[in-house]
Amino acid sequence: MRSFDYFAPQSLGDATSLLRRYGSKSRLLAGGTDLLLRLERRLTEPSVVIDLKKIRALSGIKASGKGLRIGAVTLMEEIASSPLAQGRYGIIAKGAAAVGSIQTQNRATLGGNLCNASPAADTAPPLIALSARARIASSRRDREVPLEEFFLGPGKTCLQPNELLKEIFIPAPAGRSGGSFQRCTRTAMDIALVNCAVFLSLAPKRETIADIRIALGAVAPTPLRARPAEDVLRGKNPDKGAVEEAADRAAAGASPIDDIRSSASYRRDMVRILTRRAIEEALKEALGSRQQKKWQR
Amino acid sequence: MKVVGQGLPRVEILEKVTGQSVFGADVRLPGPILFGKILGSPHAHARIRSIDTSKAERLPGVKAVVTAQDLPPVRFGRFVRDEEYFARTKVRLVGDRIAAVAALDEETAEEALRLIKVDYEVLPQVTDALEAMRQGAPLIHEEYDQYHAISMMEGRKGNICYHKETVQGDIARGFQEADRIFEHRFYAPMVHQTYIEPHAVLARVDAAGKVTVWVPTQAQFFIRQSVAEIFQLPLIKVRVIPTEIGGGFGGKMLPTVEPAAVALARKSGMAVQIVMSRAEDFQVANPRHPCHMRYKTGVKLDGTIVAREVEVALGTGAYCGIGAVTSQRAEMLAAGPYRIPNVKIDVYCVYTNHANCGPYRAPAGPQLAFASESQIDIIARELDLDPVEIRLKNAIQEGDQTPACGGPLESVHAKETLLKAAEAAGWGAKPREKNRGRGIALGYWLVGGYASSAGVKLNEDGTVTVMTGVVDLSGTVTSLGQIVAEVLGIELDDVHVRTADSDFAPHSTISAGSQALRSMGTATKMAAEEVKKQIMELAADKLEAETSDLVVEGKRIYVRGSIEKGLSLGQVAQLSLMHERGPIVSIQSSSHFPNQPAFSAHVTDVEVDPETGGVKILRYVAAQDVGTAINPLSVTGQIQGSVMQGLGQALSEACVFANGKMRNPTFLDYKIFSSLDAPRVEVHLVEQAAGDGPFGAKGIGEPSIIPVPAAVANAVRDAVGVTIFDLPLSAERVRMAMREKITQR
Repeated sequence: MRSFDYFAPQSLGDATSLLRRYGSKSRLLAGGTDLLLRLERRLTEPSVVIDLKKIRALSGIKASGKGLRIGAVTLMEEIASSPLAQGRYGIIAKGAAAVGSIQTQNRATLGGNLCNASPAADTAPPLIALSARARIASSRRDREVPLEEFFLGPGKTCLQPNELLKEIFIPAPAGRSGGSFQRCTRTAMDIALVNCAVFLSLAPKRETIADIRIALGAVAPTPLRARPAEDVLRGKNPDKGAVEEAADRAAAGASPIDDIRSSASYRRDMVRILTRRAIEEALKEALGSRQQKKWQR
Repeated sequence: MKVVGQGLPRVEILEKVTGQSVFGADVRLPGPILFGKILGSPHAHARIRSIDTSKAERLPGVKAVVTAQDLPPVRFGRFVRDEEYFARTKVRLVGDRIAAVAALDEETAEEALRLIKVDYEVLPQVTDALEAMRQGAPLIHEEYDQYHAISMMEGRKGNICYHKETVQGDIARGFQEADRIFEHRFYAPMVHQTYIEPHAVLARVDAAGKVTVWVPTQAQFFIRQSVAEIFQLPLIKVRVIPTEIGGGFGGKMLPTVEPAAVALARKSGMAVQIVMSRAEDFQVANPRHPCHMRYKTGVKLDGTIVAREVEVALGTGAYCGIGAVTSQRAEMLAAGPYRIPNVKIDVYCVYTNHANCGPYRAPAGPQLAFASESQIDIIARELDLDPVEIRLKNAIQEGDQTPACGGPLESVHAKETLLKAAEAAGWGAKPREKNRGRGIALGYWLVGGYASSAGVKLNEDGTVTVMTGVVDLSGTVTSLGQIVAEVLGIELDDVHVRTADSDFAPHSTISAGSQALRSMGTATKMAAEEVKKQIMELAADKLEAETSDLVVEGKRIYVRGSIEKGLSLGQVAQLSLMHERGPIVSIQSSSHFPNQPAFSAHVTDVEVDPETGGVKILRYVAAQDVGTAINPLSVTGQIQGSVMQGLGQALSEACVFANGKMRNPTFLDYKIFSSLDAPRVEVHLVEQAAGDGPFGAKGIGEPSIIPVPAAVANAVRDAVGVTIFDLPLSAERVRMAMREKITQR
């Protein structure tokens, strides 16, 4: 590991000024579960490390009528166990709970997981399915992008050298909705061979899918939105055949690779199976809440 | 018995749980310590044209650089002297040692490694045992026939460093008598011990040239011998101080980092520490032998096995290491714990350009049991016999001999162990839910023993100190303390037992081969009995009684029937110092341990996800023939740990290589079972005191891992009707087998 200067700014303003000054010579540190390994293996050799953990504005989960805001340095463990992140937004809690070990979850942050831009990141598909937006800050201006546009390739995001990810915003879902997060691994604690998140909402008083978003991980250079699969189901009251067709389309659209963890063909098969299971589970959740309402009336 | 048979906590447990125990990388000395690093070959097979260390030597902060030039020209190896510590002319595996450096800090040492220039002529490589046996395969040791080998090393030729044919009965006639003949090929890949503590060492050489090595090892006397041999030193010039050890499982007996640290310490005049990274450890530190197996078995329609022919090819890696021991184990185990009149076993141990394989908990055991027990299950299905019945029908009995076992076997409890497992698991009343299945497998191991000595001394207050050089891996020293306490009528708290170093401990056996307690316990018990005899003689003198009338109990010795007429052990100890006989102490030795069988029968219930192929362990029952459990807590824990390790081998573990370089040398991609995967392992002990061994104790550590992959494979077959011939049973492989089965229909 090369030596570097370490800054731990207390405010977002200080952090963005540091970024303006050091830009691409610097690396941002949150939980460090990815950065420290990269430093140790000399995969990155910054001259400046800017630690964001002391900035209170970047931490915590806040809910309002508009939606849910999760600060970039919020711990996985906080998200996994937060009552605010459960319920309607439950798939992000499930995604956070799937990252690494318990120890990792008490150290790793949401922003770190997203900015590391691993195609297999477990928080990305749930957030993409939930229509999450990335709120980005710099010393010049703040901007907001849909999370699915945030990722450009393995380890690459749309962040400029002077920018940092401030928070994730998830708009409040429409009335009757359901989600599912599925993953396929070799052992219980493992990087996902494939992961898949589905989030859907039903048309008022009907069983038709008003909107659906399907996101896949580990099967393309970035987390992947399976739009052709969504199109099969949007506006439909789906039967088994439609769900199968959507799953087939998701598999056809994936471009997985062969590696030590799995063959590409197994990954493609798993996309189909996980997508089908996720749609079924999400539908069950959305319909279940309706049945529950009926019963309460 | 009062102390033997109690599930007492381990004597060193408080140091361990409070973090006070000193492991390999924790050793500190007064004065500075240099960090050492080893340069390994990037090629699996290459000739060395030149090595230039001059730039590394000039790097500020570097205190020593060593290569083969700094060592005596010695080839070492316990069976074949085929290994040079630093390569001189040729490298034979990725990671073969070229040089080592010691520097003031780790970064500088790493920088120095990058400055060493080695010119290689890359040679064709061969990394699979079967390919290495073929005509025209690259020859890994051109001068193999000039190496010194001990007499048991039969059949050395080309890349084959050991081959032996073991025959019992008439195999051709056996197959003629058979109603059905089954033949299958199996493969078990290389897997690693994955002890939590990678190899580490600290070495110092004092002004008089005496070498001291602090090392977490299972075999301090092996390490002393190896260092002395490599540096051509008398044994009194080498002191090995075993630290606490973070797991070994066989992987910490042969020299790895020790000679490099010694060479660097000698050259620099300073203490040198080397701690392997996990990736280095995975790449070079003696994993389990990958194993090709062909099983051909002839049976009668009633399930009686009449003939079995087995061919085994073990890829031993670039050097023989303990490949010879693994091969001999394979000969003993290949036919399985069954009465088979006609057997032929061929075991080949073959050089490859792979990591050098070493001992790993039951060398060859889980691989062979996976093949043998899978085939027994296939036969049972084909003949419509119950898997328990077919095993009971053929299981060995008291006085039977298996091939290469060395004589009629005593304390044979195969059937009892099978029945215990079957009963505990509720065999027969199995649930027939879809995609769920139950499998059983029987394993056995022959536990020998090695020359051992131990000392027991009575302290002036009546407490007792045990002097032993055996390293504690799994509770051995606690059990030794329990044995001594039992003999002398005291409590475990009255006994001090820890591992002494090679300068001060009487010669002790290795902590491996499931025999540490059998060997050391025997010597220790003899020493305790001798101390008891000395106590009685002195007390008889003082109390004016016959020794036969004396009772040693509750830290006292008294005349039978009149408890007040006696002495405390403390009084006896103090009297001994005034008495003509002197201090009460004894060192005893033992060495003859015939092979003793120990059986394990496992039953597991699994659920297979028919779409992903994922296998979930729903239940795990392990019955084991343990003789007398000296400490049932240790015994149970060891069996549970063993099952966990075996489940990794069954379902997820494999070292994967590309051009001899391991592609998954991290826990991210070498998938061991974690606590999140762990089923509850229900342990059932078959306790029948063995004919020998201290208080009738048998070996525990290895029998318990042998049936695991087979039990899982058999359960998967029961669940979804597929046989998987290659380990591990990964989800991808299970899914593929299920799809092939569908297309075959």
